[in-house]
Amino acid sequence: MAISPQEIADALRQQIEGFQAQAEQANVGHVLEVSDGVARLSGLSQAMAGELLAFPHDVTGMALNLEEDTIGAVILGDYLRIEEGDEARTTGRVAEVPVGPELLGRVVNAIGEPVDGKGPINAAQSDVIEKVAPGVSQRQNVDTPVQTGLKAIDSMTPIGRGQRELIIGDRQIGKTAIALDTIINQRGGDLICIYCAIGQKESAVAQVVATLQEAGAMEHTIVVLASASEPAALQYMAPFAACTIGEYFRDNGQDAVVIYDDLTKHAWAYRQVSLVLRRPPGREAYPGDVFYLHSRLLERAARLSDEHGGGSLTALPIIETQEGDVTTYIPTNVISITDGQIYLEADLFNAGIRPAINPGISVSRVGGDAQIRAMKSVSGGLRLDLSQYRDVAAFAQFASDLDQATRNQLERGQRVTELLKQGQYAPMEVIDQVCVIFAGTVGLLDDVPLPDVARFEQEMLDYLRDSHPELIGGIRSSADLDDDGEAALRAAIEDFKANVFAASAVAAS
Amino acid sequence: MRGSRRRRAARYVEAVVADASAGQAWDAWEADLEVLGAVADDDQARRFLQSTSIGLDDRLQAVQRAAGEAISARGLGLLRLLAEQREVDLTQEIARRFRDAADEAQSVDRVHVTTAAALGDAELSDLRDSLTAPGRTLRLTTDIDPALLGGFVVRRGDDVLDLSVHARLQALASTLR
Repeated sequence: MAISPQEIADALRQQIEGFQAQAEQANVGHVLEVSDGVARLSGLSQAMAGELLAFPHDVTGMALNLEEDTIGAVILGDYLRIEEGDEARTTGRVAEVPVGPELLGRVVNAIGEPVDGKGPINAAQSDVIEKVAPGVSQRQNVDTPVQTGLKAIDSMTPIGRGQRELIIGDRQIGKTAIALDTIINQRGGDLICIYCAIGQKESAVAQVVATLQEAGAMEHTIVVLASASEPAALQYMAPFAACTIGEYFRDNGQDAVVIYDDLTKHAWAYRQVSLVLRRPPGREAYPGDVFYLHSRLLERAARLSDEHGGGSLTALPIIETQEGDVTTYIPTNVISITDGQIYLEADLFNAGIRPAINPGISVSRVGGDAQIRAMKSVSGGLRLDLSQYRDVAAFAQFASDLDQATRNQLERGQRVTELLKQGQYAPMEVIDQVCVIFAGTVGLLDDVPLPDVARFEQEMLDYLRDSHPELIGGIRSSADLDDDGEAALRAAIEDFKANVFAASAVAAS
Repeated sequence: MRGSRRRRAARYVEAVVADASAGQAWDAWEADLEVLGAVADDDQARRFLQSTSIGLDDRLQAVQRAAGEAISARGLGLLRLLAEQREVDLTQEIARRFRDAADEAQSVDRVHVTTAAALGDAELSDLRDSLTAPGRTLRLTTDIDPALLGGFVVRRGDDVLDLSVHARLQALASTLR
């Protein structure tokens, strides 16, 4: 595309004609010292807490510590360009990000600037990053599910729209994978996804974006990025910016989910900012308000009442533990703030159980309210099977001869565990999940050899879709599995087992 | 730990302000503190005043001889106290804070105007009129900075009103970026 000099000149002329110079009245101060991304300034007697300050060379800062004579400000840019004696002035603004549907499919930084090289974002609106969470009267019950597409989560630790569900576990055992599967499963749905990467490697984030693009999930997704190389102040601001971007959809009656990956690094960034601002350190050198930091962020997740549009913002914070230790400061804080946690375990991961969710200590306090009735009716048995399996599995290691009932429980538990395994980036529709879990919990899998379970699952679903579309359609339209439906589903699966699956097993041998 | 610089200075300022307002001696004190501030600003002079090898009286006499008429007995008294308490380093802080307190007590506005070119008498008096708030006295200082290109910049304390051509051009440049 050729652009003529005339067009450029015209565009410039239009901008110049539209320009109105305003007398600039500002409160100014001077830099006393700069260190580690923080400046201490004299003057600025009228600065507000959290106000943006304009430094020379187009560098911006944010006033955080207001003291009697001086101000401590974090620098949101290249602090090495600022020198002692430089003048800083107030701007009358607090930190803002652009919001709106224009951001969908884009990657932005903590102040809403695009970093994906796809040109400027011409968002019509912007909003402040620090806002107060909606009050009690503006909220309503969480009763609509966020379908993650993961059997283990949707059945046992269901997430509701407006809920805050923590994903916690050691490094490299699939925390981000759960978040990505959830995003990918929203293709073609009405749930907008915001993925906020805090303190991660740029390469890791690039991979996440590439994965989402490959899966066709970027159209309903916004990525907010504050990588490890960005100043700690920006890493501290990123989740709040992501939350504001999500709140736009919530306040417009839409549903959104925001994933904070991860809040451990966010707490580190805030600890650094606080320490260089000389705020007193507390436990593990975190400042005293690190609990409030996360509680005010996660409180903004809400399901609004119908008078307020009925929109929702779901929060999926991620916390990384060291050696599975959840008793350190930040994990305990965030566990106590959220409405439940999905706990991932390295031992399970290494044993090939992926997603490596420990169903025993993973909970969702919103629970069954956020499940479709069909799932609620089949998942009760699943929990029971798994807890009995856990009880007897420990004993079974020592006992030589077991009675039949115990053996049955072991067999059932092994099959259900096998059933809950799921590949990465392969989310499953909730109706399919219902059929699969139903087959497992009513014992239709008990005589299927363990290595065949995965194949059985796949072929059974294909068979049901091809030969009994009315059954699947019935569950989908009513979202329920009544006694008649159960009987029909059982008959269909038994038919599959007797005629189709057995035949394919023979053919394979 | 003797408390922050600001707190230590505040005690002296409070005493000086009390004395000044009792005797309506604002100008005299201000002149004294200006000289004391200048003395303390000089590294050599400050080190001399802080030295422990020379007697206190000798040090003060030396200052008195050097300053001559410029410093009153009152000012020397303050200097003696500061030297005794080993807080000579607070002198400039005290002078600055006293000036702010004196301005406030006497309803004085200190305004500094920077212009691109020298102002004529008529312009200056216009500026003076428009900057003087009712019931307050204006102390206007000016300087010239050709880099402003045109217009002027008014400063009062931390507040700045930038009406220069330079600032407007910069605003235009940032909208075009």
